[in-house]
Amino acid sequence: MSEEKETKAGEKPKKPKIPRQSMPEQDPHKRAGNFDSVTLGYKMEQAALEASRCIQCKKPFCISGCPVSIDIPGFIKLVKEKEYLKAAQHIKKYNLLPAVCGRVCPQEDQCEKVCIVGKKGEPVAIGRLERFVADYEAAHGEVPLPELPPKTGKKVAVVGAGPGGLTVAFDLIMLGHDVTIFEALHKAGGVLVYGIPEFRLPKAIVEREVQYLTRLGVDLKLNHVIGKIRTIDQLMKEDGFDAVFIGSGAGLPWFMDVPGENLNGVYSANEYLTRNNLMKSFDFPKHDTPIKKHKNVAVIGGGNVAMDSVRTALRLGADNAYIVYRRSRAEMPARKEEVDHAEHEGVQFKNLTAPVRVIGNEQGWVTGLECLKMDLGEPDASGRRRPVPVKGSEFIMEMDAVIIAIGTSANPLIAQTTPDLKLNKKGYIEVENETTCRTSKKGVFAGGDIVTGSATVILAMGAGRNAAKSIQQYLQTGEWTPNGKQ
Amino acid sequence: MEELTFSEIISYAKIAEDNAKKFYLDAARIANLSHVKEFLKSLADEEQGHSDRLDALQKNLNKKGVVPKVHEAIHTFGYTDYIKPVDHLDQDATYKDVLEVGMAKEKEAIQSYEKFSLYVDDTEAKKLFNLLAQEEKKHLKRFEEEYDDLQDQKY
Repeated sequence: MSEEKETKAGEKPKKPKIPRQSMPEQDPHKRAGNFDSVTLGYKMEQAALEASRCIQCKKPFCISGCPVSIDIPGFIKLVKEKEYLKAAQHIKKYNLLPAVCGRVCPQEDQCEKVCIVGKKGEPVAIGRLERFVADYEAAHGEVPLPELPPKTGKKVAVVGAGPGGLTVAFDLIMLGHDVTIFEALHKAGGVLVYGIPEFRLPKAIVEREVQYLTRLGVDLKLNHVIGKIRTIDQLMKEDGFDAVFIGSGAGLPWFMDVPGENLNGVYSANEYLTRNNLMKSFDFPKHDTPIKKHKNVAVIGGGNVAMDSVRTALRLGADNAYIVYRRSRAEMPARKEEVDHAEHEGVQFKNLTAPVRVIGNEQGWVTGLECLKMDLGEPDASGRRRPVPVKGSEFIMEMDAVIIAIGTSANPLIAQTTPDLKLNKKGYIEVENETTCRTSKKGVFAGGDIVTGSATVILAMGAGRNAAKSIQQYLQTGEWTPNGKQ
Repeated sequence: MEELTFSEIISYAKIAEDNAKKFYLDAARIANLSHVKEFLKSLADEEQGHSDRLDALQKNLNKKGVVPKVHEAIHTFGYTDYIKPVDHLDQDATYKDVLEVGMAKEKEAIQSYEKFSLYVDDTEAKKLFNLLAQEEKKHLKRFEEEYDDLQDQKY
């Protein structure tokens, strides 16, 4: 049926509304058996059509909805004009990782949530356009390196090559400082390489973005565990760094502490995903790290990490892959898109269910999971109703693997070796505020998950951007007083 | 069971609070992580607060001779029924370990008071034990809520 409505005589017909362009994706049944990208990205015509939906607001709320304040109308205008490389160049002024953010940012809670077009219909697909532009650039030649300012002679150490650390490094190298990133793993990218699966974020994209940084002159030191190889004090007092940014993330997994959790076949989501994403166990023996193929897999949790784990389990050949979540679907913290994708691929959801015991055989392998039904009680501080166990509702599910994805905390290594670094009671680094990112230790800044606990890629990048501004101010003035005042 | 005076019951409860305070302070002394050390000290302060409240209750009882009524029912989540029992904290204890121990200790206190309330015949003494159990349930719930907040991947 035509969207164009009948008009009264003499009245100018309204321009038909262009619907939000859907993004092509692999067939759910097919993709559940491979690690290729689920979503396939816009074609040029779709991108241009989608860009034409943007009404170029005079006061664009979308920019304030973006944690790194990308000039969204500006780049979309260039897409509409089919100036795709210029659009990529324009985004890169604000965001080092557009191909990443275009894929994994929760745009529905940020820029797209406040899009004016979305008030009377579906918002402009900002994330999809960002991805298109970045992918176009990758396929059609690199954006030339920007001209760098003269060197300032200041040295900054960045601990952790995750999204926050990469952003700080980019912003500071562009200001003329010497930047060295210390990364504990053998690849840069943090959660982008060990956490998010290939089917959601191809690793070649991350490598390309990291290469852009090293081409700009950032010194990337891999396999460097700060807190073990060097301490923060050593970096500052012996190695000559004028400032340090800590962006080491929250990589220490929580466990449930229920009986049976030490059985073979129980994994933290961190281990399970790292084996697959970073060590490529799905491609064993081409890559060295194997992983056992399990038939019945339960993933505990309802966040994006849980969805990534359960969809990985399916792709590794599980007959039954379950999400076991304490609350209902409405309270799931995972992106709706990820939950929908998981469901379409065949993931089974056991909501309002909490594990109370992992059951094993005499050989020490998982054979089952005892669970309890839950009810929803009073709301917590975030407004989500707390799950309350229903007494006597225990039941057992046959299982041979259990993956725990209930959350993570800060690795204590840096805190243990930096006694004057103030932490909050949960073990995260305390900063003066989210704008200055200053810690209790002079010259040391922090941002991302190590400050906030597990959050999104773009929030860590936003923290990195703020930290870079604050570091620049410190390097220029040497001032270290609250809010930069004398 | 021999009848207990209010004073004896409150004294018992105060000893329990003092023991809990000592437990947290001892754990704080050996804790390696500074933030855990601080958290343990804050829990010790809270136990002192509970002990002070018992003093206030004692004064009130001496004056009025009537145990205040328990008005609201506190529903706890019962995590301690399922997680592995924890009764000590070592030097590498984490925030989560402390919460688990805290929950276990509060649950133990609730069970003690509820058991005592069954053993005494005096109605007022029963009410007093129930009141003390109610107080401990509030403490347990506060621990449970913090624990619950941890057990949820936010993204």
